[in-house]
Amino acid sequence: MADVTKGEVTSWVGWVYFAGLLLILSGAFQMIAGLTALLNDKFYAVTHQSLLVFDITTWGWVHMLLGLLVIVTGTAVMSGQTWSRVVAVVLASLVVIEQFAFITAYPIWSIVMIGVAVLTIYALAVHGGELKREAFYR
Amino acid sequence: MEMDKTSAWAGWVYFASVMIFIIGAVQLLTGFVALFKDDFYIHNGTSLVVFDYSQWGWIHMLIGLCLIATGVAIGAGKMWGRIVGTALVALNLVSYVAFLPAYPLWSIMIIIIDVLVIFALTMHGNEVKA
Repeated sequence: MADVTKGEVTSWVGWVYFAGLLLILSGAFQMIAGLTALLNDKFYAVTHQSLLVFDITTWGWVHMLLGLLVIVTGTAVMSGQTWSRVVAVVLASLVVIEQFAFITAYPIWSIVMIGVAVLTIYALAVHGGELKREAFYR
Repeated sequence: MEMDKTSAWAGWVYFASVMIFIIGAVQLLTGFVALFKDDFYIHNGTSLVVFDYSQWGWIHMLIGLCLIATGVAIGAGKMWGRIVGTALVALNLVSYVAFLPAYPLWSIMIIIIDVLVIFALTMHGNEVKA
């Protein structure tokens, strides 16, 4: 535990809470995109043939599942769990790749989601360690 | 905790490592689509700047695989990973500029991420060196 006290807790630690909130938001958004795909697929700008992989129903379930996992991880990040930051970076990477594949269906949504996921990875990779130190001092 | 003695900026390298892995995976995807589902792309093969879709497919797959391997090496703090990584990301950027007519959205997003990664590697790269 001794090395935990090394290094400073800067005001940047807020980035990690930011990342946690972003994860919860983007998870919620994934679920909205998933529900849209399942219940109202006319909303999407494409015909089924022009999707890269899967059909729109399969995409709906993929979005729902990933969204749920991201929300759970987001709440864990907020409470400072180390495992959750690793899992969150992996999940955010999955979101980026998944949204790249889904970008035809609704480009603006996908671009926003990719931006949010990259921001999340930045916050966790660059400032993630500080939350552990803050938890130690608290 | 070696990174604490340097600065918080060392985290930039972990960021770069993850992002290089992601752009490698996306480039693999681009390559697979070019090889197996090239009607997904907007333009027919004749309007590409150079090469045809199957040649692009192999080029994308090759660069993508190298990027994934380099991303892992950078995460492990290898010096060569950062040099090779910067070169590969630059190559990736050029390849997506040339490939832009095929699928502009992918190219634009990847080019933006590339610039971020090059920034992370060149500005803060040496801080993870043990």
